Amino acid sequence: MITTVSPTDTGTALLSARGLRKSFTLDGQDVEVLHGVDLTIAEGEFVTVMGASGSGKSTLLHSLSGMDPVDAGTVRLDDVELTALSPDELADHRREHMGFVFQQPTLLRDLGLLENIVLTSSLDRVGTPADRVARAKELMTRAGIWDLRARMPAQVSGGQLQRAGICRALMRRPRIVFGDEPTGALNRDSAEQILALLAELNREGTTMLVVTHDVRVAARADRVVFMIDGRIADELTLDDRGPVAGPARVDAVIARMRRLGI
Amino acid sequence: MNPSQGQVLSQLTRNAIRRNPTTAVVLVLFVALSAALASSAGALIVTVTGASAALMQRAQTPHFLQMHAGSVDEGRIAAFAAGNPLVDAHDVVPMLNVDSSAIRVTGEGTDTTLAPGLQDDAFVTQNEQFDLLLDTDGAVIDPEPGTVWLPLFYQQLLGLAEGQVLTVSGPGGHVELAVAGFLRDSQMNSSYASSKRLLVSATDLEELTTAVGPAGAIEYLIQFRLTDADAVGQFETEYQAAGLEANGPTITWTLFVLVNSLSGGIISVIITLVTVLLVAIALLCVRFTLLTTLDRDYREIGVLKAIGVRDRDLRRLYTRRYLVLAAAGAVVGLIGSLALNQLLLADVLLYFGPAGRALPAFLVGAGLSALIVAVVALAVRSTLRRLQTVSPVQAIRTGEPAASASRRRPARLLSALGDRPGAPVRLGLRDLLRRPALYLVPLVVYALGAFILILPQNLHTTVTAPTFVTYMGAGVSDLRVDAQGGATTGRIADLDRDLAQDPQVTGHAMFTTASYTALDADGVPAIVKIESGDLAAFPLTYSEGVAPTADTQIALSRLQADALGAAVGDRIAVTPVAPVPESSGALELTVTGIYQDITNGGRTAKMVGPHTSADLLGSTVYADVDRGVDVPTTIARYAAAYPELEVSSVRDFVDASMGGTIDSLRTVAIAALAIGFAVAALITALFMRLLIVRDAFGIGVMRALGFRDRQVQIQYVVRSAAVLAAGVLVGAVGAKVLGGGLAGVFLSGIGLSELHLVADPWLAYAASPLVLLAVVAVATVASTRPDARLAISATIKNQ
Repeated sequence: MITTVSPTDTGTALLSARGLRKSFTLDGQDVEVLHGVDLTIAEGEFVTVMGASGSGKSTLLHSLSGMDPVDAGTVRLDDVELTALSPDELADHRREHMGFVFQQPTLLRDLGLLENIVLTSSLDRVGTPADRVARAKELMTRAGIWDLRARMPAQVSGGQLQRAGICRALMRRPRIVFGDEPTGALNRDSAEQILALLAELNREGTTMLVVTHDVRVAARADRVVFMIDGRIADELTLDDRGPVAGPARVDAVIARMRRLGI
Repeated sequence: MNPSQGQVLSQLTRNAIRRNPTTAVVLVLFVALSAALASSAGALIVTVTGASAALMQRAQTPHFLQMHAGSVDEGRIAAFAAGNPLVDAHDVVPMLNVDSSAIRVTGEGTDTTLAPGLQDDAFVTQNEQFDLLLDTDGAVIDPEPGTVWLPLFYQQLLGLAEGQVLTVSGPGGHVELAVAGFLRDSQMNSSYASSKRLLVSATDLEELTTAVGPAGAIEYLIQFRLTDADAVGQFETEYQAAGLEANGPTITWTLFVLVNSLSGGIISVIITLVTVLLVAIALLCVRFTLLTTLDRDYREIGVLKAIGVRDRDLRRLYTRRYLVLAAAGAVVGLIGSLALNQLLLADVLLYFGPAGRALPAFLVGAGLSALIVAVVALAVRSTLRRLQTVSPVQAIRTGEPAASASRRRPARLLSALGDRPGAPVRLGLRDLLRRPALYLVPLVVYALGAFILILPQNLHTTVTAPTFVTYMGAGVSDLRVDAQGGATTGRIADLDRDLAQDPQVTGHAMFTTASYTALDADGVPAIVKIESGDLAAFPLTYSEGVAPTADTQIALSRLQADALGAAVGDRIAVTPVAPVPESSGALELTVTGIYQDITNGGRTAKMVGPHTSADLLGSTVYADVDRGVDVPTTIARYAAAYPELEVSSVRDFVDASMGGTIDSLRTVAIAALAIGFAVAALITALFMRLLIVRDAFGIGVMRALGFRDRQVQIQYVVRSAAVLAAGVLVGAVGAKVLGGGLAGVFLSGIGLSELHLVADPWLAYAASPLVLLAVVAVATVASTRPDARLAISATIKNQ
């Protein structure tokens, strides 16, 4: 069954944004991309953000994760106001509490897959080196890439790279994982594998915020947020999540998109 | 490509330069500096040759010169000249040789002898027909009685001025002359000519001859102007065949030209070396930027190749922007060289007068600048060969070249370090081990920087070290007393007795120097000044062989041995200039050792046997005082007791003879320090900026993952510090291994071919590298500070 609910109705708020505004300078003119966005994500929730190109969905993700500073508004993760932190504090926060999966593989070219995955844990010396490898092994085995651990990024396929990226994002058991078109650069089979992995992780309790163009990806979520011209235009809650997106969920997302003219 | 290819290329060139202005500015800067220096070096050579030719024309420099010590039959020479069709004019000029330490110049702020010049000085009068001595306006000088004109060499070296007073003291009296000005001497202008002429009036020359007495030797310049300068070789043979006076060296027009060009030539060589270094840096910069650009554009290049753009067109695309920048640099450099020339050519103008070759000098400069642009273009072409290796398939698939094998090695090496140094340090070191070729550029620059920083420092330390006196033909002693000529023999004997009776003096030895002649390598008699005394008392360091111990043995300085063509074990015959009455005269001596000496033009000799020559030039006494006795007090005591003798410490002696050299070495050492630091800072900043551009993607990812900026910066500081450490090591070892030899090449002319460099280990190997490290660290931090305005997302997206 499909219903629409207000964001604050679901569980304990983990991440909340109020009145986010963000502008870019284009050809000498300031162009506002986010016009005062409000968004709350509950603990354990899987939220996807959809919208046409240029609607501001990636900017929203960058603003929520603290990668780009905002011009106005606040972002809170748990009790911490991210928008009030210094760049260094923000970096610490990203390292300890957030995970990222990008569209293009963003592994460091000069490190092997395993080294890439344990990178931030090594930086903070989380546990012993053996602990870190054990944790990475657990994740990489699940992702089916443990055998490739010694390979360099240029030596594996796009899907394998993306799985390594997800392992890296989950290495430190983050409170929330941000995904920016995580299957955008993959073929259908690889995309399916990645989606299955993300869904599985979410069922185990990992909160997710994923920006996507792909209806099949959106249909996996608990809630879909639609953006138009830098504003949240509508939301759709899907409550019968399954391992594979049911046709009804996909149809519901498409119907809502049609209605919104996306 | 389409018909508007030119416009497209221009557009792409402009955009590429705009996108990376730092690189563009640095490239322009280095090419400009190289072009400026190369142009100036070229202009210097053109101007020096032109100016020296003009001076030699004006001064009517002789085509053939025979120096002669001894009496001259002027009638015979005149007859030979009259009978030889090649002779246009001839002259026999007497020169009064006076020991440079007996010529003192005093005036406001000045009190010095001419000894620091390490030259043979001679007083002459103006010639009438040719070989004219000119003032700095190019006019022929006619000296007033009571005045003297000094070589420009001394004005520059000792900072002398008009109006000062020159005093010559000798057994026959005391002559004072006012310095009327400074002269251009077309024969002996250069510091590389080992003699200098001082111009006086005929009456003053007579007075001087009386004053210096037998200590001053008259030497003759027998000189000829020929109708055909090219026939000098033929004329030389005819002169020798005629059996005319020839007790001394023969010098021809060609040698005068060479010696006059030498000083400019040597500066040009040094500038050329610096230019080569700068061009090398510019090339490394080009290569590195280009490789970075190709890395970044890998995907685009692949796509262009995939759609059918030819390698040749791609090469043009990339070559053009570097050509534009290099050409801009060359133009800037060429304009800059005009200013630099004013500075470099000031000396030439002073010593030689105007050259009248401004246009050829400029054209040579323009040619050399163009050459540098061509070299840059060649480097670009050769780097762009790797465009051929770009695989369109690989480029489109991954956007980067296929991964190479053997990348596991550094990981294993580093795992030995464990967790201790922390991830940023490990990442920094890992990068060094993984792509060492990338760090070769700064390594070479740091090594060169350390080398040019340490070498002059060590040279300065060496020259100011107490043991340096062993390079001046003397042993290490506390006290040194010099006496000129034979007039003070009585006082020297008194001193000898006093020292022997002084309970504070632990040992002393007396040496006397007298002149002899010996046949040089060409079989021409040459003056040899031999010092005689107890050589075991204050031992010298011999670079070959050992000290003479028997009366039949002799040791020679390096340049003296070269001049006589003698080696250890050879026998040489010396003839006293004026034999001691009851002696047998000529001596047959075996060479037992060769030592280094820079005094007396580098030509000295030592023996233990008594003199057979009555032509006593001077005496020297060395003494050591007891431990605990204050040396300066003792020196002051003896100086007061013997005012007619020169009592000094060894340090004073070295300073008096080498003061100018030590000062210039200090200046060079400080300049080298500044240059070394500046080059290191500049190259670090440049290299790090380039590296940051190259690594932008990785840095963006690290920042997105939550690396603090400092944790990113540490990686770069670790890299530059590690490369610097390796560079300093290479530079220091280089300075240690090659330094002595290199210094020897430049100093062999003054008699120091085997200089053993002494380093102040704290200064050379601790303080300087530490300051260098600080400079590099600051430059790294400053140039890797992340741009706060640049959002992380932009860095990642732009890849």
